[in-house]
Amino acid sequence: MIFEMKDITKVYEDGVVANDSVSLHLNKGEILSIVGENGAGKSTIMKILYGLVKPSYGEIYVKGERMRFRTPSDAMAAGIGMVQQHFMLFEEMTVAENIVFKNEIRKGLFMDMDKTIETVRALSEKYSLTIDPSARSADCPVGLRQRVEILKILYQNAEIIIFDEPSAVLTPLEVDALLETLKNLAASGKSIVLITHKLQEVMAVSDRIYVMRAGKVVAERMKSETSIEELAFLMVGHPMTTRQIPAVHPGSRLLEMKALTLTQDGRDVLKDISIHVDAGEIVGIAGVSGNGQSELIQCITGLCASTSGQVLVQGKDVTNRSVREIRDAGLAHISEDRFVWGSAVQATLEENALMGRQDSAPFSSHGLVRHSTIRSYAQKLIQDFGVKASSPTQKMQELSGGNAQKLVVAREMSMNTPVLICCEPTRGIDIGAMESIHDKLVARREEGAAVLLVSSELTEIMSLSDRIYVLYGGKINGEFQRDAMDDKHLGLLMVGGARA
Amino acid sequence: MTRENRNWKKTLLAIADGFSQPLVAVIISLFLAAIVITICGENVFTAYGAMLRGAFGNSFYLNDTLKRSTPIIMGGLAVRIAWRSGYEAMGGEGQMILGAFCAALVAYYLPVPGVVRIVLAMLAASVVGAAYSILSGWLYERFQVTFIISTLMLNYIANYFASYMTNYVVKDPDGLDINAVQTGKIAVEARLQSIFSGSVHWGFAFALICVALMTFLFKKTSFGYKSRMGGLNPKFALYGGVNPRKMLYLVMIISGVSAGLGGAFEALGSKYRYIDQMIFTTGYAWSGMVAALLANFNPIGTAVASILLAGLSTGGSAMQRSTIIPLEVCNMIEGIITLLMSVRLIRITQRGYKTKRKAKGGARA
Repeated sequence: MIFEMKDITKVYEDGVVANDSVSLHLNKGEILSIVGENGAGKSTIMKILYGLVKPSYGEIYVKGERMRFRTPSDAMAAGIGMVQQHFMLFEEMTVAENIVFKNEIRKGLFMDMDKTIETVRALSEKYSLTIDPSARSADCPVGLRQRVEILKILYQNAEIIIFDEPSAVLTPLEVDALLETLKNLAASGKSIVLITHKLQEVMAVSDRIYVMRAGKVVAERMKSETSIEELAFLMVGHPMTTRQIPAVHPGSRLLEMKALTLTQDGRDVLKDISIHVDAGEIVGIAGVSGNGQSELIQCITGLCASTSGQVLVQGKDVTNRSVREIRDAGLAHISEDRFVWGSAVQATLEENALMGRQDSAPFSSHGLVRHSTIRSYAQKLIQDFGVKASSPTQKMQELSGGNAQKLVVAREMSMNTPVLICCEPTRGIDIGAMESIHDKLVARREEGAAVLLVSSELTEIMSLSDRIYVLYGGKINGEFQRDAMDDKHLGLLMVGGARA
Repeated sequence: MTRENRNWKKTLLAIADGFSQPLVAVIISLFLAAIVITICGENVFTAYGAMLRGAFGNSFYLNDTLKRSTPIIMGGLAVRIAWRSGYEAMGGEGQMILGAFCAALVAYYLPVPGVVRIVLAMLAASVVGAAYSILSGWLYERFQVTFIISTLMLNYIANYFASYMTNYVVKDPDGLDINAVQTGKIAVEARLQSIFSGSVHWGFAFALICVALMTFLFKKTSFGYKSRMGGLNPKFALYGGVNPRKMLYLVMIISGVSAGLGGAFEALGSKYRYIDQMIFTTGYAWSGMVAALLANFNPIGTAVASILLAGLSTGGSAMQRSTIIPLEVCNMIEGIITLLMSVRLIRITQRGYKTKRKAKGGARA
């Protein structure tokens, strides 16, 4: 046993109990998964493990020795390293420089670059994590950047490595490589903690699994004695249903793009995009993040002006019109990032619920807003979408990420527009809420709305879409009908492979 | 029941939080000033007592304080709307100078009945203040000149323009003192009259009406909602269909009108003319900014803080007369308050920076 946590309890200042006597341990050379819905207490346990949060009670032992971590440096010194979900790399520096950061190899006052590169290369060969030490970090694709993060931690001689949702940003092929890496690391004697909600990956690599729910460890299973179904049941507390979407015959063309092109700094960010969404259809845009999804949505919704081409909403040309005109043409938009675009965190929930309808009845008339109407409307959204909030006058920043997301989704879906642009609708949301949002999307489809769905979760796209376009490098690299979907082929097209 | 209690507690805590920094700032500055007063060899309580009496002690002093607070309130409102809408404009001083200057000229030269002259003078001040404010808005929109740079520079231009005009073009034609750099004295019928018998004039009442209007605008109108959201997260406002360009100019206009009117009140109700440097040296616009900061941008709170800051000046003069402590000690107090309140400002911008960084990280993933 290399690591043990005994009766860890964390009570936050506002009285929220994030962890309730959690006890867990980790064996040497083991891959341990911690699974649970958002808000189950996974992140808090992880932060305690890494010295970011101090537990209220409980004890931590590393190799039998009692530890009190005050900062991540303490945890690092005890041999614990963490691969963060959002990478912490200096973009302009080389891979090698990033890896040795804080423990540079020096020659007098300066860094010994030759020796640094040599060391990094040796390290990458030892763990078969192939990488070019002298490449600039910014030029590396996401999968390689993650590899740099892993090497950084290995360079610091960590024996316990925590992975926080490591596959969230990767393509299917990169995920396979990552899982392989995890197995290699464990085989070479490192102990791995994998925090995730993707059960397929858990089943693929773990030796042992803890399931957390409502701040407690509710189950401990060996991989050999459990299944995805059982884990899902333990996480949610009720069995999950697989979705059956009835076929709907698409109606009139509600959203259409004709040869949409966006050129920024002489580079085509979007090139000749011609796609359409009909009434009663959910159309998915699959692709690895950063291949033009954000720009495409911004061009449709009026947040960014396209260079050429056309956007039609219900047959009306709204190319490069203002957001107001485009929304008025019959479009609602769940933004890809709830805090950048989708909300003002310092504003109240009702203020956030009003956005987009501040000039329309029944919420305002003659330039005056009606507070009581807005409040009861916000209350209704909170109820209908199960937002965990104490009152509509609460500040947005007091909500957890998942609940904030629910409010954004609730606001846009409740506008009941013919066209719904839906970006990452379930990012950071727990499984139960995800199901209910998916149900609502399907319901909108049956009512005859046209839904454009952009998501980095391939499973989400695969399970909901009638049709899928693959976006790669700003171009449409393939189109699938519902019955012709195949995730391997899709994955290939997403990384630029040729059409079959 | 428990939830109710918690909400109550939260509200009280939030209020305490809102009050704590201004309170601490005022206490620390008074304490530091007390040290200086002691070093000067004066009894602290005698000095502060003289200051308090000289600010609010009798009807004469109180009148003086309220009169003095009038342009400060207007300057505070100007800052309030701009900053809360996300534009860190500091052009109140320039707009106030031009407002006072134009109001003084219209009220002096225009051959129409007194009341009409007052109305036209105030109108002119509003238009000029708004136009000057729009100029900095345009520089921001067209050339991305930050507000801090453009407004601070425009303040100097306004001051020296008015100074030049007063020196060489519209200098008081019937002035007895050849050295006084000022415009002609406004006739009695074109002045803002005093409300009671004292020196506080109708400009103060107008300022209070503006406070009420501003409160209404922000609490009850969709314009107020849009400007507030734009201030909290411009991208969110854009996403929700708010026209950022329209908001920028509307906000600039309202802010400019407030500051311009503040200048007009001072010219029409207090000095009865434009005197060279009369806004620049008194620092009314800056006191207004401090008042808005002290009140955490609440309009009513801004008015209260403005009156207190005005009291600091009038009381300071009284203290100078009756003790050996010079008026500069009051400038020091206001300076320390400004300094301590700007800590809040830094905190606000830092928080913005942090969320931005977080957001950027999220967008990248």
